[in-house]
Amino acid sequence: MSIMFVRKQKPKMFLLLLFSVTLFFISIGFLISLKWGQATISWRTLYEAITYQGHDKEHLYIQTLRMPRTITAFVIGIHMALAGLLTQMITRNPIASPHVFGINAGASLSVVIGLIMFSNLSLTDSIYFAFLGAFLGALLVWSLAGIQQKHIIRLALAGIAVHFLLSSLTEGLIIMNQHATDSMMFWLVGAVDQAGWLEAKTILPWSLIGIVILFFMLPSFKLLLIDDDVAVSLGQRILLVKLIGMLIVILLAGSAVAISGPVGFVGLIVPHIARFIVGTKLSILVPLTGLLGGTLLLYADFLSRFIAYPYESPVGIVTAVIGGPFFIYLARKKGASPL
Amino acid sequence: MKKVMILLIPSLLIAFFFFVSLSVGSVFISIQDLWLSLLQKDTPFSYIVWEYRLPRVVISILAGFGLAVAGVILQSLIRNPLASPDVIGLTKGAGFFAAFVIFLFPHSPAYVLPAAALIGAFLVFILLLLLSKRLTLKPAALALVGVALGAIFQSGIQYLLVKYPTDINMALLWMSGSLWGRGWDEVRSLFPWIIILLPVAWWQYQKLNIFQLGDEYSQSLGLDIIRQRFWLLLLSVSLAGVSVSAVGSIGFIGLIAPHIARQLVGGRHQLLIPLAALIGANLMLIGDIIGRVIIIPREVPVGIMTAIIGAPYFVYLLRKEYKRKSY
Repeated sequence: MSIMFVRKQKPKMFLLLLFSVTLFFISIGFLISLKWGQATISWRTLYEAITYQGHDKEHLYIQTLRMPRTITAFVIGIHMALAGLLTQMITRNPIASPHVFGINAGASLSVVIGLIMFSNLSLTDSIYFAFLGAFLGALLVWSLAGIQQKHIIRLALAGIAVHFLLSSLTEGLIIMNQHATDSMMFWLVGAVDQAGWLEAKTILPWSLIGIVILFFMLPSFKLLLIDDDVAVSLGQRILLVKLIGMLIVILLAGSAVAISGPVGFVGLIVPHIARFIVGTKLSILVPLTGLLGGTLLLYADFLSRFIAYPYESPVGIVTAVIGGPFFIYLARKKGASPL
Repeated sequence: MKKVMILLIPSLLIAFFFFVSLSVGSVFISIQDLWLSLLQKDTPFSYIVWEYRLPRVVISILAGFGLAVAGVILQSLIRNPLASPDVIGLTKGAGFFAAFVIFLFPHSPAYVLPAAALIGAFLVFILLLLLSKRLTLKPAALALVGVALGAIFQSGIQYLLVKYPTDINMALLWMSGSLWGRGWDEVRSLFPWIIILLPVAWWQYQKLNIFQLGDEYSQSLGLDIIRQRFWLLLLSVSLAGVSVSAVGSIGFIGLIAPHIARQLVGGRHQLLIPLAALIGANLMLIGDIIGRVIIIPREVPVGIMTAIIGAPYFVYLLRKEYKRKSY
């Protein structure tokens, strides 16, 4: 509880260096993501494509496939990481994330139901279905686990059970209606390899809304760093703050799932790494978490093109392989302290 | 008398579902036709019955036995009602190795597959032991490590499916467990294992009865806990492993069947083990029957049906557990 008062004063130089290094890795990530994949593009062609000077097949390939895909991956990473950070803060549970929380699976199931009910459901509208599903999934988990901050493991187990149930339903629905491995992988694991400009354009407004609300609320979220009792005794409306936080989580995670399917574990890992680097000062932690999330998904997407070459793998496989061991590490860490 | 009844009823149910399962599906077979087809091999339906449905039903029953008994042993040993082959990742580990053999060495002889599944189950088991060494006394943390291991092996299975693209039925088999296309080959590789391991498991009932009292009691009653625990776990892991090699990573049977049985007869393993096995077989048959008739001519894999039936029960279980004690 005293975390707030032991604010680690990071020198300005350190922060400058940290963010430049992060931006450096992001730029590298963008470049390699544009250059390599099923086809390798020469630097010259790449330059021409980015500056929209060429109109050959290769240029178009970059402009219409790799560019939107890369941007989508980056944005999805930001969404998932920030949603994860918020769930961890709201529940004070180090192993919480939209994935372990039924939000991803709920959104996924809901979009699949929407697609079955309305065969001409547009991408924009599917996001609303995702919001509804994310909300119901979270509600189910919370009703099972209760919101007391003591039950750290209870929340996680309830979340996993709900996740199992919802993804089985999704799987069942897909079998009944589409009978294709691709769409099953997409709605169970999450992938960005099919994302085009439409996907990128559809998610960006939601990113903007989510991030603006998040920054607007940042001072209030500081309440989540102290004990509930203390906050209440200080006359703060902690429940309201938590609800708004949950709303942002649903906004960010829901829209991400509608675009890319339930990419897991990003929301679990990234907040921990960011917190390890800069501590709990929110005005630094939040942007860093977002940027690192984007970076992680950029590189995970890059890897996903090669692990089963020449086939593309869903990026969710890569994040699960990275995230699984991290989850074990967190579960093992003795007395994993409440946040 | 009561003991006999309590085992007789689920056995009769199995017999009932056995015939239901043979007669329903994309082609419905009437009782008379079914009877004729079973007795003589030259009726119009005998091919469907003998080559498709009968092996399937036999596998359901055997795998139901295996998974349920594996669950009973695990739960008594770890003294945690949440422990089951799927929650602690055994089924996904076994499924991964079985899928590995199928995709990479498609022409290997039939006995390799159960062996591979066993190796996978053991690997998970060893990893669990190593990773939860300090936390063995905290069952929930053990469950968390198992869930994470399950997720890792699950993504391994998904990776194999991407790398070696196959039809959706194959994919489903390894992602959630299915009886689609299972034939006499699988029966042959599963049958000997189950037939040997089940009596062995039942024969351990006294040790299991003592084990659930707690380590101190077990020790003071003269049980060499570490050795016995090792052998019993070996037994449970083998049962789960061979079952998964035949039906894929089916969830929740090993969790629910022991619980239903425990509610009926309590912790006496001499009754608990056979009853749980019978209930497990019933659940498999029901899941398979529903999965086959719900969207004819396609089928919903039995693994999804058992998860849909099982997950609410798991959730209910969690609530009940938490009311008793908070972690």
